[in-house]
Amino acid sequence: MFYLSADVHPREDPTAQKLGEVADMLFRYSRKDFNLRVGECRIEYTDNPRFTLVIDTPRTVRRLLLRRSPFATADAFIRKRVDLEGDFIEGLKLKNDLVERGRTLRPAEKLKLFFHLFRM
Amino acid sequence: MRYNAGPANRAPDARPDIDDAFYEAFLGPSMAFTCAYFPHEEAELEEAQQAQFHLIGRKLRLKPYQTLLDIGCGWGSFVVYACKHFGVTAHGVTTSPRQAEYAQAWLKREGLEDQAFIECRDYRELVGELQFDRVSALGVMEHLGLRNLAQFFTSSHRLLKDNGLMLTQGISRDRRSAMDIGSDDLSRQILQGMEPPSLTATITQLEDNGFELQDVENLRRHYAQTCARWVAGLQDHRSQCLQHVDEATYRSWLLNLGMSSVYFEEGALSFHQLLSSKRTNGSAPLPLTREDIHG
Repeated sequence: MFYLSADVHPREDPTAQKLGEVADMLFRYSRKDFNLRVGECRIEYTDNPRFTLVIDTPRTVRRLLLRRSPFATADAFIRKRVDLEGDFIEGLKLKNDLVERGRTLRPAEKLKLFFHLFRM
Repeated sequence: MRYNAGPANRAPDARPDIDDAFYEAFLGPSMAFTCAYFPHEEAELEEAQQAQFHLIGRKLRLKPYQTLLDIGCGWGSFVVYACKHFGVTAHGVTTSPRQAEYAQAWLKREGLEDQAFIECRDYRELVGELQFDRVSALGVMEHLGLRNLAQFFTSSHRLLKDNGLMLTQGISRDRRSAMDIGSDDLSRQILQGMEPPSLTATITQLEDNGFELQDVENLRRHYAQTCARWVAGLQDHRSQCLQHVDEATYRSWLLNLGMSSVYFEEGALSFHQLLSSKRTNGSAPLPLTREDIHG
């Protein structure tokens, strides 16, 4: 079963809520067969994920999204700030969704994204 | 890093400072650092590597007592296979002393010292000295650098007997990307100094240097599978790998091979196998059809 919008945990945590909104925006057109974990926050789209994208802190999320550099992402993976649990190759394909979504984000969505990122 | 003195090994990533045991952990007993051939989706990596060597041997129409030169022979896997399964007399060259040493020990274990010879040497030094019935260069062209491609085929032509066959296989890119090396993330992150030529460039060089192309096969999907199996091998043997490299190096390999698999699957990278003969007035040393290859 897939959820269209993220089910976030802990539910009352404002950072988890913002991360959920950021994820919903970025993965709006993605196949939601994966989950995310950022620090202690869980952002879940499915009960049966093919993979889980693990990011150590919300700060890393902010840094990676603002820098938008594949080198920075690769470096974060090598330094274990970013990891993939489950189907590794399927997880790597998520980069296409992010690149494609980056091209189609409307100005209002970009503003909202930046707003969330800076307030996390 | 570009090869000025010829290819050192099967892949640029086979770094000389990393112990062979690291590669054994994820390449498996075949120690083949090149594209495998999956007869079916569920085939094991080892079975697929053997199938690839068998396919290459069949395409080259290897027969007992023929002489084979394997340029960039790596750890000697194809030399060993060709000797054991086709009965050829083989000569392998690599510019990596470590790989040559490994390969020589392998030949000794297999009792093939009288049938095969592997040395640490630049293949160009053999030009004018020896000629072979068959020449193979598996995963070499992408490491040569585009500027050295012509010289590679000139030398290969001189190393091949007139009625001989040569099989080359390697990574390739589409014509526009291949000419614009280093301009995109794929070049900078994954290829890291490799210069995969376009298929067009390779064929042009083959023809310009006196070869006649006989057969081409695109094995891109097989390489996507191969890289995915290497990733699984790294993951399954993580603790073994970490005895030879640090965590950061291990993860960079994981990422590089994983992304390579994605790029092959998506078609950003291709992998072609080309069979060529010398252009002569007579016919090529091949049957009329391909039926014998898979028969």
